[in-house]
Amino acid sequence: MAPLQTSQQTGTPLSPAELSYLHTSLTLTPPIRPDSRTPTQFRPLVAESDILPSTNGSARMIWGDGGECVVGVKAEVERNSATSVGPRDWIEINVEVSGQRDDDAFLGMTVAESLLVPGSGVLERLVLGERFHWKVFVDILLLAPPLSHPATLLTLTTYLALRNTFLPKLISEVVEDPVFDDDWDNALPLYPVGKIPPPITLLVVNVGENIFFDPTREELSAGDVVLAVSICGKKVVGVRTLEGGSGGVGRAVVKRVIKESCEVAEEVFSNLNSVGEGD
Amino acid sequence: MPISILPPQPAQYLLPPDPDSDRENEKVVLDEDGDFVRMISTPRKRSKAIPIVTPGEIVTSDPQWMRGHGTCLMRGRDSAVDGDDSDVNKLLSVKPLRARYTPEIGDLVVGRIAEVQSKRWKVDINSTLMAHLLLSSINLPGGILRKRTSTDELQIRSFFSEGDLLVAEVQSLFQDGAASLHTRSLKYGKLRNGYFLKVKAGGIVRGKSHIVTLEAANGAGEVDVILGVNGYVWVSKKVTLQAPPGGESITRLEEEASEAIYSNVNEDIAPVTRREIARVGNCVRAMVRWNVRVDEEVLNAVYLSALELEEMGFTEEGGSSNGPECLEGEVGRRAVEAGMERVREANSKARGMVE
Repeated sequence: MAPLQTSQQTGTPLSPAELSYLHTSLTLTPPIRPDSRTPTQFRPLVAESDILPSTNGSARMIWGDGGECVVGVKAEVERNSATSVGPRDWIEINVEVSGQRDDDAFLGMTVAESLLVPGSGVLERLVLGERFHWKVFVDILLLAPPLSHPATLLTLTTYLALRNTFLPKLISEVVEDPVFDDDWDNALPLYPVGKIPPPITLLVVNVGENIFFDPTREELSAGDVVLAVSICGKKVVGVRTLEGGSGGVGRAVVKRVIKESCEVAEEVFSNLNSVGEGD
Repeated sequence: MPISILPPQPAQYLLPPDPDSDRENEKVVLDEDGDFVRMISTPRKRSKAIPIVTPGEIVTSDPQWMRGHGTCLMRGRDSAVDGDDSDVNKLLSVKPLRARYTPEIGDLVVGRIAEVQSKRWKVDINSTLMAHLLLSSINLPGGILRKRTSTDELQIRSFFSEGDLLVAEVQSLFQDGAASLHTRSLKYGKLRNGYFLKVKAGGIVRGKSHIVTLEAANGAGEVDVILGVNGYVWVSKKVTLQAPPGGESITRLEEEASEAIYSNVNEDIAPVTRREIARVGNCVRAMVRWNVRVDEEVLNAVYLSALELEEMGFTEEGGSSNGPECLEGEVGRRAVEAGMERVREANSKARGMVE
């Protein structure tokens, strides 16, 4: 792996002149982003699904600034145990960032928490009869960490992989040991169309009166507040502030963030769902 | 359309390198990763099966070859960096496909202060080692010919502190290859009034001049572009030093300038200028992305093409509400192609005039 950029490793701050230039440009109406994007525009990204033949579902995504992420989903049959915490650990998420120590649990938690939104109905689909259940392993590998915050890249790739995850069809009775249909064409999707899809997390940065989606590293450091907005279906399920930035966030801004996130997310979902259909 | 998700592209998608480069006896091929590899087209005796080598791979075990850059001697001859190998007579060297910047004396670089020490700064110039900037090799305020004093040492952070951007020249190289920079000219020094962007180190090659002034459109005035050889680029509003009224001598001007030379405060920059600065930055990024040499002529042409594309209201298929100046993806390729076409036309016209 190529060594990380030095300024990223050491966290060298931007120069005061640079920060003030960025901040002023971003507070103008209409704002001017350093790469001339509109406030809601994302950097173009490259995505493909079903790339790993031995997984139940997989996806790869390359971000404009060089970030690359591969996600594989595998499912295993597991016996229900009395001692376990319950359905909450039926989904295991493992995030690995190449070139970094893997004890940083923060990123994994971000994805895991949002996946286990109560009422999404995923856990019910993992039940196999009375004594068994599926255990789903989601392995997220960040091949090249993007220069900006990786949360969006991670969740979008995970979304794509989960949408393409298929589990073999159960043909045995509820009380028996599970037996599966060996025809893959009959496999059932983990997230069927029409049911609540997996959530995604978008980053939103607030500068003055303006809000921006998919911020770059410079925009993150020039912003007042950075928000991670988790969206599931058409609803915002969580908003949290990330590290960095100074000052609080107003009620009006949060309202606007939520409203615009929903609109943007709808586009993102429809684009993600069409990945792989074109070819 | 706020988001565009593209399928992966085949390797041939990139523009081929500039054909009128100085290496005419070479042909250019694509390897599987989509990197451009230059191969000497004259027939070689050694097998052409390994134009690309990986670290640890034995290139040859024949004792007649001399060991060049990027190779090391183990039991046979091994390559040390990923890249394509080339041979000049009996010298065998491996050129890396992608590498950090290697400083050379006289290069114009843009750098960011990473560390402040007692008599020097450590500067990040995208190289393997940090560059040094000695306190004695900057312009001290109050006259260019002044000796460095202990007061200057104490207030070293008032000149440059961590994170500050500067443009400098490589003055000398240390034994280990680290660069020593100097800013002893009015052209060099702290950077203000603009935007910093980073491209890959090989994207900008050494040329005649690395400070380009563009006449920006829409009444935005002039825009300065500093193309650091290390891949760091600074795009800013052109600032002319105000001569004090009364027409004083040039040394006086220098003194005045050096008072303000370490200020961190931007001037007033109009929104139109900011917009054009962003557009120029996008042009540079797109040119490096699509493998086109970045110099004054081509940058001007690509900039004009980008303006034209916006006027024509070019939008990507299917979408309409893209940022009009955004040059990511396909739009950037069109702009760069149109720019190169413009350069070729101008060249052929100039040739016609000569004849």
